[in-house]
Parts: sequence; structure tokens; C-alpha cells
Amino acid sequence: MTSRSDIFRQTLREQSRSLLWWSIGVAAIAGIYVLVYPAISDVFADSEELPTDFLQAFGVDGAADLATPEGFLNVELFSVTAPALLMIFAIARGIGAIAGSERSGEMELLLSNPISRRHILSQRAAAMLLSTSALGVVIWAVLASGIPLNVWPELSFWALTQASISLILLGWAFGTLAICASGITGNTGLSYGVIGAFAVATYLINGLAQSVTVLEPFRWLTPFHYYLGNDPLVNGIEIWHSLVLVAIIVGSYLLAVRSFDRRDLNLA
Amino acid sequence: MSSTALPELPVSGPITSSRVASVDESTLPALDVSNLSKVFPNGRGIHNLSFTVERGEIFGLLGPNGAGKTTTIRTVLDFIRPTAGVARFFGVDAQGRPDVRRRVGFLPGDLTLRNRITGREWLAFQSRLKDSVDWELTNELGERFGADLDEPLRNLSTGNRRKIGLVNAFMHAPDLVILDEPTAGLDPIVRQEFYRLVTETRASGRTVLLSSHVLPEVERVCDRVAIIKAGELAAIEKIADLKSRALRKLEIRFAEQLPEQALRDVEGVRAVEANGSSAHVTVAGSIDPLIKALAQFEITDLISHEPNLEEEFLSFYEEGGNDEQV
Repeated sequence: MTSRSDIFRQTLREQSRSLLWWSIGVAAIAGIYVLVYPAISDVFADSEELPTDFLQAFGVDGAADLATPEGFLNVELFSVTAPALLMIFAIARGIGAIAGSERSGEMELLLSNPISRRHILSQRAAAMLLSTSALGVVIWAVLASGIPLNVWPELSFWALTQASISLILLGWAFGTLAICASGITGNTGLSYGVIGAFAVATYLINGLAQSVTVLEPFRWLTPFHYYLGNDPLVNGIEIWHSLVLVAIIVGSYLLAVRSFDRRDLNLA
Repeated sequence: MSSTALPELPVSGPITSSRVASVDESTLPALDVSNLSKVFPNGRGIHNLSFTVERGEIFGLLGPNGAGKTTTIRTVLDFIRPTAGVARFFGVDAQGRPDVRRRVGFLPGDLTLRNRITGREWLAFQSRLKDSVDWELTNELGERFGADLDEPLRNLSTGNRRKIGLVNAFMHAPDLVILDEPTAGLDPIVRQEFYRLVTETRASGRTVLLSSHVLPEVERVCDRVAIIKAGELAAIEKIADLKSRALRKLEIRFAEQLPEQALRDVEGVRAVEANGSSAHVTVAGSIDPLIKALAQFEITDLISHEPNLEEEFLSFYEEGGNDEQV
């Protein structure tokens, strides 16, 4: 049985063009925040008009926070845009890795070779983790460029790095959850539905739990809490929060292997 | 994985004493399907199939669409898991043993290669996965089929894509080639080349299992055929035996009066269509009794047509009646 990385490399090669476009798009979006921050930070500095509850839902304690680079990036980028982009990318890659490949007939051809399902799954998962990381690194690099460019000289490089790591871990978690869903079901539509619903539901619970007391205990159930709950851009990574995300990654990967190894391929 | 001890595949490198199986591997059949069932939740599938594909033969799986040919192949190759029974390649249970597929080549019935990469790049990738890169053979196969290896796969027509799929199935010179509807979508010239390649494969002692719903194809290339009907094995026959039983049409012209009754009385004669002094005679099985009977008459002409297996095959499907035609 082959133990080499042929499938890993082939997967990355076939997806390289798409990854390039994603990187350009993500870099452009992050770049916009770098460009507009100097202009609007002054505006937010005097503003008291935004409702506190609304801001709290995005992890901001008061409007004054928006005048700081950390507050601005938390509200504008790390709460919604960046995780949404990475999650959409990682989920699509995760579902494509198994269920999409089965539907296209590619899986049948791969498995006609002397390789195991586990091998294919491990290589495809590794490719998803690497390309998701690449997008996270692009965001990190663009935002970090704002420090030497004097956009936010006071922003801590180390805190930004930790927030980016936390962001990548969130992308990995949803990517492996998507692999898990497609490993269990073999069905792209069903996998998208389940993971999409889970992402939206947990996002809303996490956001609302900060102002709706009834939901407060459920925060612990959402991956978003472990991504942004400790406000890594300000406080750095809380290590056990990251470990929870790692546990989600490892657990859903193992479940995917177990299920995919046992079931029938979903062939047309 | 089965808990029973199974002979190991021959591997390159040192063979430890525990590896030496008591059975001589070279005598084991290329594929041994034993009581194999795969029943889907809707009740369809294959039921209790047993057949053996011997080394060096071309074995056909014949049946109408939906009879279970593709399900059989997918179960044998471990893409889907049997509800009962086992399939062994060269004595090794395929389930949980992907290494047995090193000796197997496969062409799926529904080949959907829509990649951006070229045929050559895809074949290079596939051959790395097979641990066997033989570009001389690969290029030769590509030329024989007239496959365009330098065009992105997604730009190719269905037929041209299948040519690449055929190259993929044969390029590592596997001991067993499993082909699901191999000639579907191929033009007649490529089809002829395919028949030649399959015959050469047999001549080199290797084995071919192909599925088809096209009778003349099976009749032409296969040594034996398993006839599948609604997921069950209706029969396993040698093509030669089928031919010897098949109906043969003879056209006989007599110099004198047509001895119609004498012809009808000959053993094996099923029908006589008289037309003046000539007759179209349908014979089942051997034509020897008819030839011997004809010797007492003066014959001006005798034309024999190829035996037609169609009715032989249809007879397997007559019970039940609502199956598609072969």
C-alpha cells in the first residue's frame, strides 16, 4: 500500500487555482480594513450612539472599543467576516474531500487502486487543513502589514498572531466537522445542510448568549466561544479553549474515518 | 476482515516462513465469488451469487440493465459491502485488503473524469497510486485506442474519456482486469481494438471479467458467461456450449422435389420453411444428423449461417417475462 503523499499533493494541485482566487479575495477584504481604519477610527472615538447590546453581541464592551485596532478588528473582521470566509472555504473542502468525490465518481477510481479509504481520508483532510491555514496566514499577513505601515502601530503582533491561530483552528474545526458529516452520509447536500445549520445555530447562540441570559449556559456548546470567547486579540489564546477546538478536530476526524471505512460508497 | 486464515499475496522482498501458504497461489482462481449478496434497503440488489473466474479466461457478466452487474462488480471490489458472502481475488478476501487491487485493473461503467488536468497527468497520478509506472505500455495503449492524452479531461467527449479509462485499466498489466460495460460509447474501430487487446490479455495468461448487456460482444470475446437476472444467477455457460445448442439456419436448394417431410423428421430440425425447391431449415445443436440425411438427395446449394445465440439467451429470461430484452 502506498504510504506516500500522492493524493495530498494531487488534491492541492487540482485546487491550487481555486485557492489562489480565494487568497486574493481574502487579502482584498482584509486589505480594505487596513486601508479604512485610519479614516474611521477618529469617528468611532467620539461615538456613543451604537447600542451596547448590539456591540456586546460582537464581543465589544463599548463604542469606545471601536477606536482601538483590537476593537475595530474584532467587530469588523474577527467576529463575522473572517470566520465566515474560512468556514465556507473549509466546509466546502471538507465535503468535497469525501462526499463530493463520491458523487463525481472520482472516489471509485481512487479506490480501484491499492490504497485504503483511511489513506484517502487522511490525505484529503491534510490538504483541507493546509489550504485553510493558507487563507488564515493571508489574513494574518495583511493585517500584520498594518503595524509597520503605521496603520495600527499599537497593535500587538503577538496578539494578532494568536487571534489568527485561533481563527485557523476554527476553520479546521468546521472543515473536519464537514469531513465528518460527509464521511458519515456520503451525501453532499445533506452534509451542507447539517453543517450549515450547525454553523448558523452555534454562531447565533454564541452571539446572543452574551446579552440573553437564558442562552448563557449554551455558549459552552458552540465552537465560536472557544474561538473568540477569550478575545485573543486582546488577551491572547486561552489554551484550553484551543484544546477544545483541537478535540473537535480530532474527534470528528476519527468519527469520519470510522464511518467512511465501514459504509458503502455513495455511487450513482 | 475475515477471521479465517487467508493466503497472503506474493510480495516482493524476503518471504518469511509464516508467509508461505499451504495452497499454491498460482492455482487459485483469479476471482472466486462465493454466496455473495448485496441487498439494498429497497430490496433490490444481488442475491447469493457464486461463480469463479479462472485464470486466463475472459468471463462475461451478461444481463439487462438493472440486473445487478454493476452491483456485483462494486461489491467484489469492496466499494460497497456485501450483506453476505465473500469475494476473493487470487485467494484473498478483498474486504479490508486494498493491496489485492494492485493486481487488478478497473474501468467503471460510469466514467466521469471532469478534471482540469490532462489525461497524461491523470494517468501519471493513477500509476503512482498503483506503484507501477510503465510509460512505454501506457503510451502504447494510448496510441492503440487513439486516446488524446494531452487534452484536459473535462474537454473530452464521453468516448474519448472512456479511452483514457481503458488505458488506466490496462496500464499496469494487471493479472485481472474488471471492466463494466467497456465498449459503451466507443466507436466501432476502437471497439475492434478493444477486442484484440482483451484477446491478447488472455493469450498472456491474464484474466478479464467484463460486464455487458450486448450479446454479440459477449459471444465474440468471452469464454464463459454468467447470466444475471434480477440480481440472481440464471446460468453459467461456456459460449462454445451455447453455440452448440444454438439455433442455426441453413438454406438448402434441391435439384429435385423438396423432401419436406423427410427434413422435418431429422433429429434437431425445428422448422422448415419451404419455398419451391429450396428450404430454410432451422436446426438446434449439431447439424450432423441433417447433413447425413441430406446425403441421399441431390443438393445444388447449401448455405449455413452463423448460429444465433439470441434465442438461447432470451430463453433464460423468458420466465417472469417482464425483464428488459437482452
